[in-house]
Amino acid sequence: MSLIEAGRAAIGAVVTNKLRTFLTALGVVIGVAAVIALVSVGYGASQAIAGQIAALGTNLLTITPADSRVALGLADAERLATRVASLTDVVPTVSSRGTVKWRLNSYDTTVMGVSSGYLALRGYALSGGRFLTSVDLDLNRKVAVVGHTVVGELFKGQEPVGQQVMVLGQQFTVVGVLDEKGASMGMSPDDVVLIPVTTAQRLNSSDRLTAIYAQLSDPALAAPTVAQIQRIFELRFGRSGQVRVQSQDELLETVETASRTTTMMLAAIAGISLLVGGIGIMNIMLVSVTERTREIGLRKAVGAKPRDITGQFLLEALLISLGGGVIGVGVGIAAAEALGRYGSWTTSVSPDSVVMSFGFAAMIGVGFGLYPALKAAGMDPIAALRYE
Amino acid sequence: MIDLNRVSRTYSGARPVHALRDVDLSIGAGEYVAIMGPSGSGKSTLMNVMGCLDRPTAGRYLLQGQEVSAMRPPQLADVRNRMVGFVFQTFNLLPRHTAAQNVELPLVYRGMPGAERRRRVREVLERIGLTEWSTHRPSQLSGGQQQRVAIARALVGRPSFLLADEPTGNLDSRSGQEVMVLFEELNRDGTAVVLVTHDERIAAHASRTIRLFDGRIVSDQPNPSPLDAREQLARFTEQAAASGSGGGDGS
Repeated sequence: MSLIEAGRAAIGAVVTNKLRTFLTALGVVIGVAAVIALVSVGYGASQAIAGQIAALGTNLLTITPADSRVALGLADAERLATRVASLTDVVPTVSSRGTVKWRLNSYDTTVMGVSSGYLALRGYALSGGRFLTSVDLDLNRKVAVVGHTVVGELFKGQEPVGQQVMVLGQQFTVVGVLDEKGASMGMSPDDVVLIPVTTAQRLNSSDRLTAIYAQLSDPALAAPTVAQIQRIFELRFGRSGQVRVQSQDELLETVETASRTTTMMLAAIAGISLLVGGIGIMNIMLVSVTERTREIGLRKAVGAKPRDITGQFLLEALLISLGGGVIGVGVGIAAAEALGRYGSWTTSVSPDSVVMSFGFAAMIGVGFGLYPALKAAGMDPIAALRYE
Repeated sequence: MIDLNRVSRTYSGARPVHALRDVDLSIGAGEYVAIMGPSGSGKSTLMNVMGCLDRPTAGRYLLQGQEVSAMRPPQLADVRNRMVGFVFQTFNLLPRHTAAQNVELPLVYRGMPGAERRRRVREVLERIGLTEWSTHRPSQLSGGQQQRVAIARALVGRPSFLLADEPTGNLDSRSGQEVMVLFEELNRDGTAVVLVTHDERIAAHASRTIRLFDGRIVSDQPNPSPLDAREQLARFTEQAAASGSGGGDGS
């Protein structure tokens, strides 16, 4: 029996019982759609994070203490700035969570002590006032530059520059406002209050820095620069491994690994529903084989070989699963789109998930269709013809 | 054509059933044979063996000189496809298929190209007189028409012989007689016909009668004066006309 004939017969059989075929395929539809939609959530998240990291600049190095016993100070930042030629800018930072208050409003945000180079380093722009200056740092001035989100939350549309705010219990004067940078995931660069790093140290009554940011003059110099920085700190602390120096590339990789794991987990959970859909196919194919026992007997009597019968039922199972797969891809893409538009997620349909879930659906069709098909092919024609 | 040589078929079990015991039987090309016997005599088993649906547990079966008794299921399927034309009591047509598609089925499994299949189907349906019904489904046909479609399906592959199992059992007597006319014509054109029946009047159409009892052939006799099916049908029509005109007197 040729493939075309077999295909025609399979389509005929599948179309005959429309409701049953549809309900059976529905399991696969839901499975495939779930894989595509869930993976699109994970994939979208990882793309958003990656985009954010890239937006920070690819030639940024982050130097942090390897553990809590290591203390980095302003002198360390100074040392790097003077000794490492490939760094164009070095910014010491102290960050903490804190409450800022203005009149009766209060707002929890990230309070970061930074130096004057931070504005350029992170690619911020000012929408009003001025940024922190070296004079502010030298004099430990209580001045603050507020991020876009903070303006909205705290000042409710009032002009912030010149206002007195309470930061960590101390009174500060707002001297500048950051322009909106915009990002959707996790830590927003707009949700921040910047103060002079020296003032922050004093507020914390500690000289410790949270991190030192450094700008590379050329991303190609990342590896030798990291090595040089490590050497400097090895001399300073007397042993190696006291600081972690991360380039943006490494950070990107870390985040991507984490989100890939999440995405795989989501795919696996959705894959289970696809598996259940496959069991549904097997169930209905077994029913179909029993119902059509006499047909199988007749086909055998007029010369159908066992493989003709196997092929016929396998093709029917495959048709149901592939049909379900095609519809599932459509539903999945639509669901991802809807989640992105009306949910709070960033979704991005990954082509891999479409190919994979579709392939998995096909495999399920063959896998779960095989047993019923072999059962049909193995029937004794005499008994099958007499079956009532 | 059909040569059974000491063929036995035993169904194993706690108490083995000897459905056929040492059956010797030869049927030549173009013969018209009736196989008779009460139920349990082994005639169904004999039919299954002759039709290559079943294999003998002992003995040899040669069909057109080919040893069938040792064949594997795929080869048996091929032999059934080419050499045997089955006609069943319950027709066994596929309900979702049209008459033409039902007739076509053996050729599909033979792997014949579509154009030639359609030509052969058209020929056979014309021969049977069902051309105008070719696109109808079995449910739209009468019992007699359904059995004729089934006979067309048996014929389309040009088999060595037709193997008919109580072909008139599910038909009214007139449709049954029409089917017998068809068999007679086919046999006159050279097709061997093997009828399996318990109905003496059906068996009387054949030119040879084989009787089975308890798995053995107990008699094998030529029938010197077989019933002429056409004549029977004519008589049948006359009777029906007579009773019909008698009943319609008043109107």
